[in-house]
Amino acid sequence: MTPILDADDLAFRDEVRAFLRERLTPDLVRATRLNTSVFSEHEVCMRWHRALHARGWVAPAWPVEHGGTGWPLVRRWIWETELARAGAPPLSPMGLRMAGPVIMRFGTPAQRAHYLPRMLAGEDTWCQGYSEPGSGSDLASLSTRAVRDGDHYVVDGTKIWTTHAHHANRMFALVRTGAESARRQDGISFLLIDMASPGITVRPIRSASGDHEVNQVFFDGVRVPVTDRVGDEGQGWTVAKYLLEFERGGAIAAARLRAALERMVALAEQRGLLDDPDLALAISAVEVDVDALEATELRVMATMQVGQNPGGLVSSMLKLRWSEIQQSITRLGVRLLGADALAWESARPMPDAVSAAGLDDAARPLVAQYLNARAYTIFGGSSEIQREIVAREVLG
Amino acid sequence: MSFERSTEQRLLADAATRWVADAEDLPADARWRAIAGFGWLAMLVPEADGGLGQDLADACALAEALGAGPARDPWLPVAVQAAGLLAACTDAGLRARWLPALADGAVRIVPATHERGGRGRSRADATRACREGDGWVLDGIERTVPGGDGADAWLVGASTEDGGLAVFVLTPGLPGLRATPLETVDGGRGCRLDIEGVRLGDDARLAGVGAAESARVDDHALVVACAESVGSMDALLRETVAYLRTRVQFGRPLAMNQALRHRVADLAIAVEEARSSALAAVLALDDAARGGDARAHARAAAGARAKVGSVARRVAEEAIQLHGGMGVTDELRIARHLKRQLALDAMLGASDWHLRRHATLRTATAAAAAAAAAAATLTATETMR
Repeated sequence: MTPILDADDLAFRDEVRAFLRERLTPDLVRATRLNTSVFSEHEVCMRWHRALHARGWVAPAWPVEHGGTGWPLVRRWIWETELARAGAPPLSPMGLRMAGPVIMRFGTPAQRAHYLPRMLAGEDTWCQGYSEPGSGSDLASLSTRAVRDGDHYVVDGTKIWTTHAHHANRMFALVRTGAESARRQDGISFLLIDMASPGITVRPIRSASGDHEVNQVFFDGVRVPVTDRVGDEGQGWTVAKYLLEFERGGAIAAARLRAALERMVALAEQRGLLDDPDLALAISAVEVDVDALEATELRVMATMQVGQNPGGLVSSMLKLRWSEIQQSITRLGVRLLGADALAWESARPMPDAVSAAGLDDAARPLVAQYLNARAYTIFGGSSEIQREIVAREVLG
Repeated sequence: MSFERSTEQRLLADAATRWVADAEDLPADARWRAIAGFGWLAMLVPEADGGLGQDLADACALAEALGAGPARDPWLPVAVQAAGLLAACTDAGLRARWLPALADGAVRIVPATHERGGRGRSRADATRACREGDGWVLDGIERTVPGGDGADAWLVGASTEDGGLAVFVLTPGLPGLRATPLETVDGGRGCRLDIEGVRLGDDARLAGVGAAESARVDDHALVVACAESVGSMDALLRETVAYLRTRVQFGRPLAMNQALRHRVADLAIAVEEARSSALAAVLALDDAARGGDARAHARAAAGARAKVGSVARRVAEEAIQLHGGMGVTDELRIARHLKRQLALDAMLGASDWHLRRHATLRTATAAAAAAAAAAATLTATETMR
C-alpha cells in the first residue's frame, strides 16, 4: 500500500532517487546485502553517513533547528522506503536515533551545541551502556556505580552486549548515583562517557552468527565530568525510558522488511521454488504481516509530530511485531537454501571473502542472518518485557 | 495518506455504536426496519438509483460499529453484496425495479452466490444456468443463503455453459423454486434454495455482471467483513480485559497472572494489526480500482481477509478460554462473536483459503499456478508409489 502522493511528494521522490543513483555505490549496496549483523559494518556505515551528511539528509527525523531535515512525515516515509528499496546501509541508530533525541529533549544548551553537530557530521560514534551481566530484562537492578568526586563522577562496574563498543568513541550509560532506595529506578543517572577515558576496557564477544558486534565494557575508576550528565542526577530512568521508545518504535521498519521479503521472493524464483505451493503460502503469510505492520506505522506516523516518539505502548507493539517478522523472513531464507544451509560462511566482512561452497551473494548471508536475527526479540527489551508493557497499558 | 476517519464517518460510527447497544433486545424485524430507516442499506447504492452513493470506507466505518454487537442482521449481504451486484448491472430496467427499493428497505433482496465465486468450494450441485431459446433454465441447490428467509428476491449466481458466471433475479413463487427457512450459525435467519428447472427470461439476468464484476463485489464484501471483525475483536478484548480485572481466583484478580497478561498483550497487538490491515485494504482497493488492476484488487482483499480472518478466530477463541466456563455459555456474548466469525468465514471463505489465493495471485497467471499445483500432485502421487 502506498500513501497518496501529490506532485511535490513525487518530485521529492525523484530527487531522492537521483541522489541514490549518484551516491549509493554498488559496493555499498553489496556490503549491505552481505551484512549479517544488526548494524552495518562500521566503515560502510560511516561512508554512507558522510555522503548523507554532505547532502544534509543524515537526520530526517530531527527538527531543522538541530540540523535535521524537518521533513513532514510523508517525506520521511518516502525517504525510508526509497532507501530500503535501493538497499542502502542502515545508519547506526545509537547517535542519531537514540542519544540525539535524548540530548535534544533533556540536554543542556552546551551539550546540544557540542554533541549534536558532531553526531550529524559522524565525528562521534556512539554506543549504549545499559545492560549489565546481572541486569538484563531487570534493567533497574543495574549496579555500575558513579560516585561524585568534585566536578567529576568516578565510574566503576561493567556493561554488556554493548554493540560496536569497539568502534565507538562515546557511550551513553545508565549508572547508579544514589543510595539504594525503595524505588530502584530513583537512584539512576544518565551519563555521556568518553570511551578513550583511562580505566575503560572493551572485551569482544563473538555471536553465534559469527559476528563480532557486541562487547563487554569494564569501568575501573573512570572519571566523567559532571557536565556530561544528561538530565538531573537520579532522573536517568526517565531519560532512559524516553530513549527506549525511540529504540523500539522510532524507525520505519516495514519498508526494510518488505525489501528483505522481496529478496526472498526473488531468490525463490531464482532457485525455481516459487511454484512450491507450501513455500508460496509461507511467503504470503509473512507478506500480509508486513502489510499490517506498514499500515500500523503509517497510522502511527499520522499522529506524530517531527522529533516526537510514538509513546510506550505503540513502541512496544511495533518492536514486538517487526522483530518477529524479521525472524520469519530469515527463517524463510534458510528454508530457501535447502541443503546449502550446511555451508558455514565464517569470513567477516563477507564481501572481502570468497564462498568456499560457491554460493552467490543472495544465498551466502542467509544462515548467519537467521542466527543473528535470534537477537531481535531479545535486544531493546525482550519480547516478554514488551508484552508486559502492553499488558500494563491494557490490563493495568 | 489518511487512515483517519472523516467527521461524517465518526458520526456514523458513533450513532451505530449507540444503536447496537440499545437494540440488543429488539426482534429481527424491528432491527431491520431501523437499519433501513437509518439509510444504512442505501450507502453503496448510487445516488442516481435512489441511494446515498457512499463509499467503501463509509461502509467499513459502519461495519466496525455493527461488529461490536456482534452483527446479526443481513446488512452485509444486502447492503454490500446485493447492492454491489445490482449497481454493476447495465440493465436500466432491473436497476430501477430493485435498487431504490433495496435502498429504502421496501424489499429485501439477498445474494445467493456463496456457493461459488472463487471460494474454492463450488459443489457439483451448485446452480447451473443453461440457455433455452431466448431465456434460461436454472438447476441447483443454494444450501445456505444468509438473510434469505422471507426475502423478496434472491440474486442467484449460476455457472453458464461457457464456463462463465451469470447472476439472476429469482422471486418467490417461481415454478420449480423452493425456499426452505433455516437458522444460521450466527443466530440469523436464512434459507435453502432448491432450484429445479426454473425458467427465466434473459431480462432476469443482471446484464453486465459476470465473473469479474462478481469478484469485485466479493472483494468489497471481504474488506467490509474485515472491518466488522475488527469491531468484534475490539469488543471481545474489552470484555475479556474487564473480566480478568474483576474475576478473583487464588486470592487475586486473574489480571495479575503473567501467563494471562502476555496472552492479553498478544490479543491487543493482534487487534491493532487487524485494524491496520482492514484500513489499508480500503486504500489498496481504491488504488487498484483506480489503476484498473483486478488482480491487485483481488490480492489486496484476499490478503487482508487472510490476516484479519485468522486473527479474528484466534481472538474469539482466546476470549472464550480466558473467560473460563462463562465463555462457553450462551449467557455471555463472547461465544456469539465466535459464531459470527464462523458465519463470515462460511459466507466469504476462510482465511487459509484467502491466503492461498493471495499466494496464487502473486504469480503472473493463475494458469501457471494451476500447472504447478498439478505437477506437485503428480510428484506426491509418484512418491507414494
